Amino acid sequence: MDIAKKSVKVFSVILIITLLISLLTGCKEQPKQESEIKYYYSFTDSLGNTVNLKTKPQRVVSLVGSYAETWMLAGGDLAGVTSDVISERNMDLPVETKIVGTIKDPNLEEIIALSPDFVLLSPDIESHVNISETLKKASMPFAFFKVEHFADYLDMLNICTDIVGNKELYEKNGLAVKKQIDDILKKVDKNNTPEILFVRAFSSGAKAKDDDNMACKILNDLGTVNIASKHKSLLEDLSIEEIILEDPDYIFVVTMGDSDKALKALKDGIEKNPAWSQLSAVKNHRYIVLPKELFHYKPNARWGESYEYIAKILYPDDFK
Amino acid sequence: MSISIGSANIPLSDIISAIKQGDHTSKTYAIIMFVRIPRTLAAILAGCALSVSGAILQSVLNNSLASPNVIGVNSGAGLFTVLIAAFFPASLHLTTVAAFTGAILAVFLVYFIAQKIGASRMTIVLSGIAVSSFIGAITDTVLTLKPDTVIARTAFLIGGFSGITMEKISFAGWFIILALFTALIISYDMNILALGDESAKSLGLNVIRIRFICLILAAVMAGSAVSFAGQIGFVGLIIPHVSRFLVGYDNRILLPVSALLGSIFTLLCDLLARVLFAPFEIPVGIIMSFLGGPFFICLLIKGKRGRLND
Repeated sequence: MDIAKKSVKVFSVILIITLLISLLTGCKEQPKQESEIKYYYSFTDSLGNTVNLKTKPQRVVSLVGSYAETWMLAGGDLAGVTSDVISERNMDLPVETKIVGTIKDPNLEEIIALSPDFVLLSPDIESHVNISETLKKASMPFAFFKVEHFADYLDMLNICTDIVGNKELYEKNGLAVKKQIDDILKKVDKNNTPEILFVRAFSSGAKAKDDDNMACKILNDLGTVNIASKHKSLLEDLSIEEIILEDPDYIFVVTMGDSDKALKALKDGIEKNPAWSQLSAVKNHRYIVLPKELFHYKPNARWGESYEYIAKILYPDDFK
Repeated sequence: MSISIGSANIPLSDIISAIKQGDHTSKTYAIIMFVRIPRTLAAILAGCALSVSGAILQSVLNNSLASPNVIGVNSGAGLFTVLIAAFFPASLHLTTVAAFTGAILAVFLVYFIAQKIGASRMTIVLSGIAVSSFIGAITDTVLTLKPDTVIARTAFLIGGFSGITMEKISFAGWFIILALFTALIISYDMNILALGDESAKSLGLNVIRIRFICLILAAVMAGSAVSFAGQIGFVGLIIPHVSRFLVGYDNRILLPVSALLGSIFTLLCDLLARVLFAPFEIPVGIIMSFLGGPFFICLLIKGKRGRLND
């Protein structure tokens, strides 16, 4: 190949590389100097990060519907929320509250455009973890919360009411609910340990859940034994064989996504097996579909209702 | 345009002003510097890398259906990303490096297997398909055994630029630039390779070495793109064909044109993904399929079939 042409070509490519290098390096953020500041409130979030709020947040954005509700239960207002607030919780929101995308895919531009001074995130959603990197660069305070069980909700509510400055709401929406739950648990007969199976059904199938799950924790607190804890394979594949072997006293189902499609999938799947109708739970009408708002979505201030709902099923004589 | 248009349109004058002032607390500055510029750059780099990768593969394998998927890049990147999320969930920041590593290792495996049986165009494609299937099975097994793995799997499979940061791009970007530079230098040798193995050998070309180098370059570019953009597969297959319609088969012109068209197409798709249903975003891979598929069908119908090899 002609040496002159090759040289021109190489030079052009080097020039392009140089320009791109300057673009890549030019956008690199310079580290800031931290100075001693007196913060309005500091706490440690669920990822162990220290969160320092310089002032009381006025423009809060929540990227999880249940956290939005918890913030409002703490007396706070919201500048932005994700769409699950409407689709799953049917929350009434002021007109000025913006929808910033979905829980799994929030719109970062919309979030930043709201100039939030506090953003609530979940560590279990990858897009939230990604977004936190940009929020950090933009100096927008954020915190990760992980709420799986009532104790987690209570902790989060405690922090939120501290920030908002309304501890009465912690009493009302937190400690009062705790008392309700404690009163229910006191009445539970410890000698009675019914065996249960808890199933989460969705449009393409169903899976048993074990004690890590919110509803299973409630069932466990109420004295039941989950057969999925004894047969871990049920967590992956809802095997009729193992269910027949254990023959649980109760089968609880909660749906995910479209409830009708999920229940239809169950009907067309495991329920079609002739052995299904021979199960004790089915014969004794103890195959129960639980309401989503109490056993799939985080019930927050209604956690006491969730305990009561199950307690009335398991111990009807004690909880009339 | 990509920096100016979004869920909120920002005029060019405001962009320049915000960058000059450098006020980190300004939301305009934050949107431009931390959201749109990284995203624009990511789209340019990914589009460029995947298009050139596809062009190289179609040329050296003499197969118009060759794309980065064929040599196991996407599956290798996907597996390592899932492994990080499943077994090292506290280290999700290593996802980019993991995806890149997985892509390169998968290609090495493909070539290693293919070399045992002659490293011809057909054996490389067949090895790629076999390796991709195997790696895909491992990925599905990991996700089945660890169902709580924190990974936006659907988003990764479709691909997108949401939440991208400069740190994620800068690691992979260097490799894309260097690989592109190297590909341009050996583009003439690729032309000779496209004549066929026997002809190329008779012209003094070390066929196996050049083919291996081309595979590695294609893998580096595609693996780098997948590491931050997910599995955007459409660009690597279609853009080289469109480029060939416009400029022919000379790789010295085809590769730069593919890079340019790939960047433009990816940018356009990302822009539409952001604004069409704001504040909700459509994954960019879906927009690519919607736009690119019919466009390519139109090109075919216009009767340029003769310029496509089978």
